[in-house]
Amino acid sequence: MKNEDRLHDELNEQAPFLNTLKQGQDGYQVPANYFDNLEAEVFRQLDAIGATRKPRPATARPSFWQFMQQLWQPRVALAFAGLITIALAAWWYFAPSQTDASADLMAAQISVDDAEAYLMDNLMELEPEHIAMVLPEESLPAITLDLPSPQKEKNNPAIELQLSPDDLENLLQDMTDEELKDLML
Amino acid sequence: MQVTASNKPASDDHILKLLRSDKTFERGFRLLISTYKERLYWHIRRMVMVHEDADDVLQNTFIKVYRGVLQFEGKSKLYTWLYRIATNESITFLQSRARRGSNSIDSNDEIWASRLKADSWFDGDALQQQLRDAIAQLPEKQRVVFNLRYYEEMPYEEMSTILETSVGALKASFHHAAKKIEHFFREADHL
Repeated sequence: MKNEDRLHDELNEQAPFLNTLKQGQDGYQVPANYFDNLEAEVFRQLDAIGATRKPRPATARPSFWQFMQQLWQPRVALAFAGLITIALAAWWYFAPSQTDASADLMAAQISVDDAEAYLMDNLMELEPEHIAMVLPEESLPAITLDLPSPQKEKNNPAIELQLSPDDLENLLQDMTDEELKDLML
Repeated sequence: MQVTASNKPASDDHILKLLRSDKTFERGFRLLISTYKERLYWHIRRMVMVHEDADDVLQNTFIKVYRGVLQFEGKSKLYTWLYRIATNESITFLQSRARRGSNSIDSNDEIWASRLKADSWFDGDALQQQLRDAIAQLPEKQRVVFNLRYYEEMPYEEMSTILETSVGALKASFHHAAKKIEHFFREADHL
């Protein structure tokens, strides 16, 4: 059964007078063009209360030139220059000073004789490895080397040289001035 | 029902599809207004009765819809959701008007009667005017049920989803409303 017919029956059963009244108009009217203007009025209200949704602009990636233009804006350039200044100052302050030892020796005006005398007086203080490092290669076979076994090397990786004080004295006697200077460093 | 350029009625699905994109949101909302403005207006007008009040309530309804339509999950039909908002807005309006009347020196009925007489957008005959007066005396919820059933001939099942009330309770509500109106006319010697 259709809904309209069901309502008709329902009203006939409950309130027949209302069924009779329903045949005519209800008397309500609206101003002319009311519905035509409604949409604009709703949007005017939405604007007035600031509720209108603004479509989000498309977020395009800036081109290389746009990026460069942004970079060279005074604010950005100033910040960039400041950073570079701070980095240079930090490098200058913290960089290790590399002094040339031989230059220091020359600046101290120490003669070769003085250096030789110093080394002779402090012969026993010198490490054999240091002396071996400045020796000419041809003199090395004459020195008895106690080469470490693989196991020993594992425990003490430093190569040990066994030189007697006489050997050392002879070696120093044979050294050139330049070699002595290197030994002093 | 609004007819689109393709000469087909604008479906709820089409409206919702437009509303879900930023680019087409405004077009979708304009389509929603043009599709439902008349049905919602008459629903509200029969509740609040005076044209100016109906206009205010209808605009508030559309503003609420505009703000909340993205939260609409589609669990019910779009028009069911719209009717629910319009009904709630109408009831809120009637309740606030009743509160304002209770603070006045004149009784609420007197204010309401003078307001109905002043409505220039009603030209019904004596019987229609009495029917409007009788409906105006119904409690808000009974008025909603009576209007949806009597004027809009809405099935109880559909009304049940809008008002979130059982079909049995709605039938009882309509029955009471019809009896009250009949009684109103009987007292006025029309029956």
